[in-house]
Amino acid sequence: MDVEPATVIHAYGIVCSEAGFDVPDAGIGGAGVALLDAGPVSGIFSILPETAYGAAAWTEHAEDAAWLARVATQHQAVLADVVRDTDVLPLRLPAMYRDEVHLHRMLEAEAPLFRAALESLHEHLEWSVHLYLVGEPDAPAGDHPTTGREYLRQRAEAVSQRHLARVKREHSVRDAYASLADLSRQSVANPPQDSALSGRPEPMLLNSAHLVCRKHERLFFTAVEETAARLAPLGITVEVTGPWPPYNFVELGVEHLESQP
Amino acid sequence: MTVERVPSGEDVALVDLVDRLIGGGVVLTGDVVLSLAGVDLVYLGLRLVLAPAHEVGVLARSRDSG
Repeated sequence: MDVEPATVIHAYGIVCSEAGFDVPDAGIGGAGVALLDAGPVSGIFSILPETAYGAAAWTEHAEDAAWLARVATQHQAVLADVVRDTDVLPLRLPAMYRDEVHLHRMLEAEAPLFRAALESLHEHLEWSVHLYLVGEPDAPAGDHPTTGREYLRQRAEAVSQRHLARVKREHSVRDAYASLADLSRQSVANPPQDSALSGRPEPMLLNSAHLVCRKHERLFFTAVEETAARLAPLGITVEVTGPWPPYNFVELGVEHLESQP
Repeated sequence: MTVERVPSGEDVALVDLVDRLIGGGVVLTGDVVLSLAGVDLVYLGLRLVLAPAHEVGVLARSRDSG
């Protein structure tokens, strides 16, 4: 009887049902993306072949970096499309359902929680700010030492200059974070990314995320530019990524009761 | 002074995405469930997404030790 190939639902995120936006054309593996209305909130989802994206596939590929990178990027691409137009709660991977009935049941059961989270984040986007130390400013070259004592004096001076430069840098990084946090509704300084993971050799001095109102975006970017101008003489560059759905500012854990053994 | 702006869809932002998928977002245990160990493996796998080959052993060992 059952001739349809087995499928599984992948959920990307949750939006307010009355939100107006274009549903992205393609999601994971090129699958179509659809919206499931569950009253006050709707889920964004794809129907995927179970052989490729079911629990067994996730387990098989759990340490397969290339597979995970592709799935994570395609998951994010859908959310990046949506977040340009409307507020969306991003789901962490993997979020799988047997079928629309089960996804609908979950959305309906948790609707008040999701709705409250969406309302509290209304019109806010997440931006990432990275500060990198790309170069130490050159120390002014002193006269060539003519005596041992002169050499030691110059060396001690160079050490203390470097120490002062470091203290000044730390202050400037804290000030930079504080001035951007002033323009954000919420901010968080996450641990700097390991250069082995980021592939960037320069030390990361700040890895922050900021929840910024859409209408304050220009103000925020002006402040970023000003910060960059202040930090450039200290050998620090600024990089911004985003906009992100508010990953750093929704920490909801919802257990599906049916799934408990 | 120009600030480098990286759209969230670009490859360059992958490490940022991995940070977010491990540390944030709504956690839904769907009804098709991986074991907790399976989910931990996925998070470990995500950490490995950008790691050069020689780092993989280090990260795998740090998982074993705690």
